[in-house]
Amino acid sequence: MKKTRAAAIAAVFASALALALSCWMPPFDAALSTSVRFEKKLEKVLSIGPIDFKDSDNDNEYFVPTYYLPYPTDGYLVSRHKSGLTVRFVGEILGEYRIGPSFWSEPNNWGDLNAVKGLSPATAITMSPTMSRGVTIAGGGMVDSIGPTSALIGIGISPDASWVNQVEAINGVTFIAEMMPIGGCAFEEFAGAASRISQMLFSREEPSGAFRLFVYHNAPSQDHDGGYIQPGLGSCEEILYSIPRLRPGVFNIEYVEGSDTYQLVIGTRADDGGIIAMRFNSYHLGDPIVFPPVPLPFEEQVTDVLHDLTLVARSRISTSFYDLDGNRLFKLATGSIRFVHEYYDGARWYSYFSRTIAVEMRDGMRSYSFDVFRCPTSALPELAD
Amino acid sequence: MVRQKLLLSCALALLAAAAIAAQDSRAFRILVAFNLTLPGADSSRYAEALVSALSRSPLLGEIRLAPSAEGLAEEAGKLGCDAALEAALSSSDGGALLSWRLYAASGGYLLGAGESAGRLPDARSLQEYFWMDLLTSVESMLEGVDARRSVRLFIVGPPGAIVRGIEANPLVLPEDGVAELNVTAPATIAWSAEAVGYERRSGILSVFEQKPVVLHLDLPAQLRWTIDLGMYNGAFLDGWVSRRFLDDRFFMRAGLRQYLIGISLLDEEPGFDPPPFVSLPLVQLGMGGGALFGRPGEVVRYYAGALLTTRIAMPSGAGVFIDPIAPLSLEPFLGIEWKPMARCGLFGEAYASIYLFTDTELFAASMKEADGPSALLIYGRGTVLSIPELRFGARFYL
Repeated sequence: MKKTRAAAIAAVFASALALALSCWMPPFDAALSTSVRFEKKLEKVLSIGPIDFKDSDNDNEYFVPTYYLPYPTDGYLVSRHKSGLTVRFVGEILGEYRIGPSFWSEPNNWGDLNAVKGLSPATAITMSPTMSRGVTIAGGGMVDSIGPTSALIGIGISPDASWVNQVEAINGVTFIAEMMPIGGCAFEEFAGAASRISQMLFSREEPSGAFRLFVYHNAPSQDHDGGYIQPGLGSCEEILYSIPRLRPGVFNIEYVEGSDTYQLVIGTRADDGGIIAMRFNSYHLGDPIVFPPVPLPFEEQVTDVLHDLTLVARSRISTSFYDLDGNRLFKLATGSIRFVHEYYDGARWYSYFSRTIAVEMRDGMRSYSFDVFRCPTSALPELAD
Repeated sequence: MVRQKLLLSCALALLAAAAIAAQDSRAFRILVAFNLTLPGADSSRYAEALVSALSRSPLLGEIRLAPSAEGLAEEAGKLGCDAALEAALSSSDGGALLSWRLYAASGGYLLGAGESAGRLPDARSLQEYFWMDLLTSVESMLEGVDARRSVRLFIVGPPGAIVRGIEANPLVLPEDGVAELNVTAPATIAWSAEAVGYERRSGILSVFEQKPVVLHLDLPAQLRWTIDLGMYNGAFLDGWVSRRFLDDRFFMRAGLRQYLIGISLLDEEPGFDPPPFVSLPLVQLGMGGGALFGRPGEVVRYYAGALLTTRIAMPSGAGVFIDPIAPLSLEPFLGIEWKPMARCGLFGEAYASIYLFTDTELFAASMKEADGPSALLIYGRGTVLSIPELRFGARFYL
C-alpha cells in the first residue's frame, strides 16, 4: 500500500516536471483576444476562409484588401520574411477562394509595405486604377527595397487584369560605399502646371552618423503613371543631422503647409529601441532649401498616414493616432486587427482594417481566414475606450 | 467549557484509579453473565447462587453481574475487571448442562471454556457443589493470568473519539470523554485516535509501572483552511485558498492562476537565445470544490473535484476584460496530498480543462503564441478539451 502511494506521488511530480521541461504555454493570444472586442465596433465588409495553404516559415503575415472597391472581394496576403516580403493574391480562382503563388519577393530592408505620402481626396480619386490596385495603395510611390549600398525605387506594385506579376517603375540607385540608406519616399511634385514624381532617400553616413537627404527628380514631361523615373543623382544633397543607427522601417512623409514643404522622418534606434522623430523644411517648389530638423515627441514608431495627415502608429495590441506635431490624439485597442488603408467613396473617407487568422495544422499546412472591417475615419476617435 | 469538563473527568478518573489501586491487587475482578434456559426455573436465584459460589474462591475478588452476555469482555474492560465469565445452564436429556467461557478483559481473548452435565440441582446442591466444576475450571484458567500486571489505563479525549491500537477493536470514548480499561504492563502500545472536528493523531504509549496511567489524546482542532502555492504545468505560479468542512471530507476552493510571469525552459537554437521567463497578460480566476477520500487526518489522502474558472485578459493599453475567445473553463481534477507535517505538505493534481463557449477557430489560432508544445487538444462544438494539465506545490494548513 505504501509502495503504491509512493509510486502515485512520484508519478504526479514526475509528470509535472516533464510538462515543465516541455515549456507549456496557455492557449492565449492577447492581440487576438483584444481584436474580438474591437471588431464589434466595426462594420465587417469581407470574410474569406478558411483556406488551407502550405507555407513554411511565415509567422508575420497580414491581409491587404484590394483598394478600389468599398466592399472588396479579394486582396493580398503579405508575408514578412527576414529577407523581404512575399505577396500573394487571395481571391476567387477557378471558382473558389484560394491563395495564389507569390508574385513579389525581393529583399526589402523596411520589412513592410506602407503608404508614404499623404494624399488629398482629390488626388486619391484621380489615381489610375492600375496604381490604386497595387499593394502600395494610397501611396504616390514608395521606396521598395533598400540594400546596404543600393536602393530600388518603386512607384507601384500592381498585378494587371490577368493577375500576372507586374512591378511598375522600378529604378535602381547606387550609393557610395560609406552611406547607409535608411528610408525614403516618392511623392508628387507640382512645378507650375506640370507635376512630376520625385523621390527622396535618407541615408546615414558611416561612421560619422551624418544624416543625408537625396532628392531625385523625373522630368516634368514624363508620365509617372507606369512610366520610368530618371533619377538625377545628387540634385539635392545636404548634410542635415547626426543620427544614430536606425532599424529598418523608417517612416517618412512629405506634406505641404502654406508655401512650405516639410519632411517628417520617424525611426527607431537600433541600439535601445528609442524613437527618433524629426521634421524639417526640405523643399520648396523645386528649390532645395533645407533647414535644421526639429525634434518631435512621438512615443511610437509611426507606420501609416491618413488623408488628413493624421499619423497612425500600429503596435501589437493597440493603434495610436498622432497629429503632425507628435501629440497623441487617441488610441484604439485594435489587437490583431490591423489598419490597412483608407478609401474615399466620393463623399466620405473610410478606414479599413484587416485580420488574418492562421491555424497551424499538420504537415506544415495552415488554415487561413481573413476578415476585413471598415469604419468612417471621422468616427475613429469614438472607438477609443 | 469542554476543556473544563475534560479536566474534571480526568480528576475523577484519577481518584477512581487511586481507589481501585488500594484494593487487593492479588484478587481478580470478574464480570459474570449468566444465561438460564431451564423451564420454570428462577434465573435470578441461579445467578445469585453462581456469584455466591464464585465469591468463595480465594482467587476472585470483586464479582459483578452483567445484565447480558453481549459485549461482555469489552464491558468488563470498561468496568475495570480482569476477566469476563459467560455461563449458561440448560436442560439436557432430563438433566442439566452447565457451560462456561472465560475471556480476558484486556484484549477480549478467550482464556478457556468448559462444560459439565448432571442432574438438575436441588436447593442444597445449588448452594454447595453444583458450581464446583465451573469454579475449579475458572481458577485453573486464571492461574496463567497475573492480576498484578494488569494496569488501569484512562484515556481522556473528545467524546466520540475513536482510539485504535489499544484493544482489538476500536475503542469509542463515551460522552464524558474518559474511558478506562486494563492493559498488561510492561507494554508499548502504538495508538491512533481520530474524532470529528479534530486532527488525527497517533503515538506510542509505554506502560512500565504498576500504577494507573492516563493517556491524554490532546487532539488538536481540525485545520479547516489551506493555502496552496503551486506551479501550473510546471511553468506558472498560482495560489488557492480552500476551506474544508464536514469532518475534512469536502472542500471549497477559490484562487488565482497567473501567467504574468512563468518559467521558460525552451532549448537554445542558433540565433535564438530564449529568455528564462515568459509573460502573458492573463490571469485565471476560479472557484470550485471537491471531496477528500480516506480517513481524515491521514498522511496521504486522495481527492477529486472541479473548478470553474474565467480568463481575465489585461493586455497593455487594452484594459482588463474577460477573454472573449475562451471565457470559461470547467476543470475536473484528481489530486493527492502528502502531509508529513502538521501544518504543511505537498500536493499534486491532474486536470482536464474544458473550455466552454469557445470560438474554436480563434482558440486554435491563439496557439500560435505558444512557443512550446501543448497538451492534447480535442475540439468540439464551442468547446475545447485540453488534457492533461498538471499542478504541484506546497500546501499550508491554517
